[in-house]
Amino acid sequence: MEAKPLIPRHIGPDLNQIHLALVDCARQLRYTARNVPGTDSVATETPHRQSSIPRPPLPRFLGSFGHLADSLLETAEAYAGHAIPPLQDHWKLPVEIDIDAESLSHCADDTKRIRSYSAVYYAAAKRFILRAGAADVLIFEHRINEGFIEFCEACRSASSAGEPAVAPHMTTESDVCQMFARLCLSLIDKHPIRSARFVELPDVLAPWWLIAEPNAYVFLLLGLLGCARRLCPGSLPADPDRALSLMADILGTRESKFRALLRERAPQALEQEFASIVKFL
Amino acid sequence: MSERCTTMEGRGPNMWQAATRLSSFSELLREHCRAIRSGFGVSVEVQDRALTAAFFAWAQIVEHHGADPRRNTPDYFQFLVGALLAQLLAARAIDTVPRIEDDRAAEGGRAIARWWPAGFALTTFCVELVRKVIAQECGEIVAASDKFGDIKLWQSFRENLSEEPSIAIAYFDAFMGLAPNWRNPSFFRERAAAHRKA
Repeated sequence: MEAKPLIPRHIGPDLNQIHLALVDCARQLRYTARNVPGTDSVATETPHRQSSIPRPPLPRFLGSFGHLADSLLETAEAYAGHAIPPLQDHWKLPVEIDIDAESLSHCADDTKRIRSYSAVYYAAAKRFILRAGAADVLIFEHRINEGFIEFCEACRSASSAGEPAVAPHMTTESDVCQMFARLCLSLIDKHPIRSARFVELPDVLAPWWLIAEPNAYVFLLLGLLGCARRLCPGSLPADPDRALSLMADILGTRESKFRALLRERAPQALEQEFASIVKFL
Repeated sequence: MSERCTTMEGRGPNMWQAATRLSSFSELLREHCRAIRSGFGVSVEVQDRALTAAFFAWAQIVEHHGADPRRNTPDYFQFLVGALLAQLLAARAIDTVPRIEDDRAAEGGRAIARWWPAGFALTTFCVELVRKVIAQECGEIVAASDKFGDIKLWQSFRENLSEEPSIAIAYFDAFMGLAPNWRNPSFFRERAAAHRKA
């Protein structure tokens, strides 16, 4: 007989969100400590610019602020460790975007699964932005989680109302494109990427759009990759980083079209654009 | 998703389908570069990011003309492959790599290949591609005309390309023995074949 869970099921998602929000709080503290002008971390990244300028005395409390944030993160991970594997360093290795589209559209109650997808998206977004040349980045994972939850709930209510708006069975290419396009919009709306600090200009093909609108750029990229991974996995490079770079190059060729689609808030047109890219992969 | 080909010679699967998918298209182009290297002694290499940019710019042209009433005619494929050549050249999808065996090009008298390796490699690739596609899709045999060996035409091609990338479509028509539309090469409806039908 299955043991009764200690925590009532209906508050599971809320507790999960609180945990993520706490972790994000610690991340924000750490990001702030790292990026205050005049601190060691910022100064060491731009030594040539600082050399001739007399540096103001460093605010000492910022160092301990960073340490405090680190210990907070460690504590949060330790408490959550039994449920979810540690996430802090996931981004340091290539991240595979492998979302099971069919299960995602049916897992509104599966907190653990949603959280694992949020963790994958968090790590992939962070890794991509840092590889594009950012010196530091702050992403709120709880907002990614919220985006996933809202998407799953929309799927469930559409399915129970018998609406064809969100197709739950993923039987056709169009269903899959539709799912990833809607998920993508749901994530962009949450603005999980709070800040990305670029010391130098990013790579030429991941250009100003990434700096100006990191949420739109990164979540379109991840949505497109998820869609392609599901529909034509054999057409993508095996290395996750190369696959992401390929998607960034493709996105670069259609930037104006995607920006127009996002301005119009047209999920169906976005879905068609995903489909028209995937069929050429 | 579907079948795809890896070589240009003797393939059963659909050539147009292979040409309109980045993964198989890039394989075809890489294979062609290897063949150019061994056959002409010039080293050319595919630049992945430039190829992606060129291919997806071309994909938009293909989509734009997808509903054209003449979409299954030889001239339709001729035009699209010409547009592909223009995009590949404009994006510098392949680059020349200096190598010792480059001297073989001069020995073999392959002046054009040595003089403009990237342009020669991409144009020969497109000639071969259009030949295969038209044979499969329309059941017609087409081949490059005598103008293909005319160094002066190549010189004018290279010179004019720097000013107007889409002119590659007109030169590609000339190489294939068709009447080029020098004024508006990227306008499908203004091609000579369209006027003949009308």
